[in-house]
Amino acid sequence: MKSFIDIADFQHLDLRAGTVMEMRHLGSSLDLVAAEVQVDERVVAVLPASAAAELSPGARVVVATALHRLAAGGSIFTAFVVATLAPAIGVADGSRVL
Amino acid sequence: MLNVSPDLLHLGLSTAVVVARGCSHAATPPALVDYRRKAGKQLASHWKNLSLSSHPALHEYERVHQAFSVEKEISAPQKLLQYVRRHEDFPAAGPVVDCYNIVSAKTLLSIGAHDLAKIKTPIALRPVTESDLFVPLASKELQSCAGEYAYVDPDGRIICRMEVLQADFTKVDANSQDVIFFFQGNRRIPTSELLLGAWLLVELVERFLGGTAELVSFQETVNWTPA
Repeated sequence: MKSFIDIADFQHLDLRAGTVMEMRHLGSSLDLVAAEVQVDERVVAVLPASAAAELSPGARVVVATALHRLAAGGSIFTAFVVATLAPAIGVADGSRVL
Repeated sequence: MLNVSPDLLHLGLSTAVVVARGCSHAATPPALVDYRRKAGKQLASHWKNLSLSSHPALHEYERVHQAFSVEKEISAPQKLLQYVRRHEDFPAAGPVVDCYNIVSAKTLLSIGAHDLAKIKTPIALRPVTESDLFVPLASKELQSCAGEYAYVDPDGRIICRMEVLQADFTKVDANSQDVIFFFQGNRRIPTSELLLGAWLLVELVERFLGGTAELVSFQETVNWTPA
């Protein structure tokens, strides 16, 4: 089946490699986790709780940064954890991905 | 804001709620019309030679309907994409509807908008009982949907029947200031798409309608299956 999302959808995003430092659940009505991620600076990125269950501090991730602001659970987010990075991929925190 | 019955979560439904305040929708801003038309053309091109009904996410809405013995009720996202494919644009239904229609067509999520001042919360997404009342959009006649599932207010008034048809009494009109959006996905739509869909709607509302929007509820399915 033809992919619904193609590479052009991501070309305008600022995707960065980073390391998860801390995580906290947003609350009972929000199955979401705020993850503090070291990119070139620390950003707080959000992701679904089910996706966060596969992460722990020290995990390498790809983060979409500089997004439009999202208010949720008393916080404002401008970053989203897109994917995990395999340990074998040795890119430095803050490196642009894609 | 929204309580989802455990049975429906186990059937694979996922939900999110966004509340937008201070929306202006006297007229559709030209920039939103341009964005809508561009999205319509892209989506029409994407779906030109693809089957809508056999797409796993759209087919999954039907599977959930069948669990409630409901046949031949096309989900709102599929109806919308049928229109977009035919017209290479969305129906021009006002700025609020434009915003959520674009998100729905891009993500296949079902999205409904209601005037926050007209509803009582919390809303329950649950099976319908005989005592629940439903008057469909643009109608004054009571319609029975007992045995189905619906979004129901604390007084037993249905604000949306499945992901098929909204009620009349909560509809958004030119005087609506604050709007509540209910998002519904299914087990064939990753919850990351649910989050990004809610995020995109927040951006469109704040960019084009001048309001402020917040994600106030996000509930994942307990039974996700990759499409």
